[in-house]
Amino acid sequence: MGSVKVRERGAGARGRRDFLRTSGAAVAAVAAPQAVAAKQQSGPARQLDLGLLRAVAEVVLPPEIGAGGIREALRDFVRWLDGFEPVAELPHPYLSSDEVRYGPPDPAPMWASQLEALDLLANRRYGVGFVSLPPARRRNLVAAALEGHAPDGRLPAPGYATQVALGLMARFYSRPRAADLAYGVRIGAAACRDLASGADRPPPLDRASGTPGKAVGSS
Amino acid sequence: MAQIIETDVAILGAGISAAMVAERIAEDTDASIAVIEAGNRIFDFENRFDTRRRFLDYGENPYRGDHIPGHDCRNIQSRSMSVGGLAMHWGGTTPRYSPEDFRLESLFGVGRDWPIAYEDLEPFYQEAEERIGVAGEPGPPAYDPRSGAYPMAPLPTSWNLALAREWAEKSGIPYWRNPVSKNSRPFRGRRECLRCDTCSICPTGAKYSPDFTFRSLLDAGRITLHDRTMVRRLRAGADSDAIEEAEAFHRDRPDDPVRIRARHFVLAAGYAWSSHLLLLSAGGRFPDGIANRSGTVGRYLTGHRWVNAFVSVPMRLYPGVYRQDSLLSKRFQHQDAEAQPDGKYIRHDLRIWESDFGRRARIRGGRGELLLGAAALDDWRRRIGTGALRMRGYYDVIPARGSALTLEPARKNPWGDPLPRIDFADDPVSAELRGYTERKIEERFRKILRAGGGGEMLDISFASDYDHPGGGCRMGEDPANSVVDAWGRAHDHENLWVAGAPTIVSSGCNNGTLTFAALSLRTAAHLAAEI
Repeated sequence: MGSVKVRERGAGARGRRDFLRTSGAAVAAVAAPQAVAAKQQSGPARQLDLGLLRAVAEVVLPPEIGAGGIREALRDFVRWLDGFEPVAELPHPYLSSDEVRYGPPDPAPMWASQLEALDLLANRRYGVGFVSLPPARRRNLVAAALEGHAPDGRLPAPGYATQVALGLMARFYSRPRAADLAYGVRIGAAACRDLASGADRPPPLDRASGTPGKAVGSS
Repeated sequence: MAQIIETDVAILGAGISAAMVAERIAEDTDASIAVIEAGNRIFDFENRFDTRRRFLDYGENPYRGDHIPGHDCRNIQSRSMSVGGLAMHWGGTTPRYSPEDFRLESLFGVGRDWPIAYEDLEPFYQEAEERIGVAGEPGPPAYDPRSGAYPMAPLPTSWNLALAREWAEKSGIPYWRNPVSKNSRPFRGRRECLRCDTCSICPTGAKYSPDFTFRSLLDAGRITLHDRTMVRRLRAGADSDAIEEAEAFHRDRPDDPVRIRARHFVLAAGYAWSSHLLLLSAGGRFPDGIANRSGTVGRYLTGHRWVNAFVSVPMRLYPGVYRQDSLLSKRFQHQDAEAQPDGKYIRHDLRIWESDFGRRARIRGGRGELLLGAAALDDWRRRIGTGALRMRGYYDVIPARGSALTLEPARKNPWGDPLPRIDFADDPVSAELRGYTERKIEERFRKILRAGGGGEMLDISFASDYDHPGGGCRMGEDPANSVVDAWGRAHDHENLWVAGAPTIVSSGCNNGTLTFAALSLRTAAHLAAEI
């Protein structure tokens, strides 16, 4: 199993507010060729730029989760990617297939290059890095990058996402807490909990004190 | 160097049928029992929270190595082959067949009667439920007769399913909880269900799987378990029809033969690999295969098809409370004018589950527009004001003789043995009724929708293949057209028994595993009496 090394750039070591105040000048100074060189020097191709990733997350994930929610979603995404096993054996349970099926290759190199492309494009089009763009411009660039992806509107399993923004959204919305957010209650899907609690209407999020019943083990 | 395994009873295969046979014979006799399994021994219960985590996060196979590379069967329902078999990742659904299933020819003039009646199997249904631990709610006796209580009370009805039941029963069709082999209380050393909702990989042990039985029998010293040991031939004696030896090899030492000598051989390798072994064993006095003087080994493969629908319902549901939980109705498996209104043979079950169909987050709206940021969550919220349910009916299909497993001489496994292929085929009666049956089930779905008020059919689909397959060594009284007798003993070989799925005559309208387990116990009881 490989590991994803996340390289902080831009906002990583500072508060986001501080970063946004100063990033314009700082990032403008990072010309695209240097960015590429830095990436090549720093290790495996699958290395993602967390600053760019965050800048994407801020425009594709729902704003109501706040900065804390974005941070948590990114941590989860990176943890997920870190544990990804390329071309893993998939289940072949009852009613599956007479073929053994395998999962997708490591999406990280593709996603890393897509992040890099967003940064290059921002530099060439606006003269500043992607992270320094106002949200509306970032959203437009991401929307353009998503052209032709997920034409049926479905969010794929994250590993199958053909675009990094799609991967971020797919992972975020595949998690039980996203459903809780949408429904406004603590469904706690896929959490191991006491049996009887399932008979009750899930408690509203604002009254829930954690999970309904007692969560057990890993979920 | 050859290895010789000598035992009183050799059980070939290690799925749920083998587990039932092994446990019953171990209890009833002092016989030595060897269980032979071509696949791996995946006794990894301690790791299942972790493997479940990866299954949820990455969709990975939680039972790595549960297949044999290069050893496959075209059109088989699963590649899984390991100690525990398909019942490692089954959903734990355990309805019984209906009494009518055993008397199709007598009652409906189609198909073929089994050589046993429901009443003959009923005590073994009860025994199977008690061994694997079934939690259930009795259905109406007219549709779901049983002699005793379920071993465990049903799991508490989930919020979603309670609403669904109230909604569905407005149609006048009775529904009840689908029985499951999941503990509603601690049972036989396994803990109660924690509603983890990933029953294919149950991390708590609340769902029964055969590894528990095998581990228990191993700990008690009652069986020997030879995994990675592939049997490739059964051989009868020179002067007798009795099976003398099973020729096998260990997959790590394929050049060293393993010879299994036993007083009794129990073939418990499922509907595909049981027939495959018998056909592979052709030669000498048995040119068409072992147990195949009738020419029916591998034939009359049976199963049922489904009609599956997703519907919207006028109520707020919360998908994810307990997706595995379901409702069952056997109303239309019964024989009466409402179930078969046009004098044609139609029988099916009905099931209902919670669903998130059409209610998942998405990245594009209905006009293809991108949904980023707040738009995606807003769009999701707009679509969950009403709930969705999944409805499904399994309908009985009568198999043709040509519904068969055959060998493909040109396609061989890594050890040079021909691989099998499966081609399902309907009896002409079922083929002719297929369209009628599908339309009628759809009509019944729509009737439930109308009665519930305000619902809508979102999607409907019709199966092409058989589900819960069985047969290939069907039981019967006449050796000319069946492979085994009513106890599972091969007509042609007095010490060869076939257990479970291969012996069924037809698949009825319900999940098959409990019936396979009950048949296996009935075979084991009869065999034990002879030891």
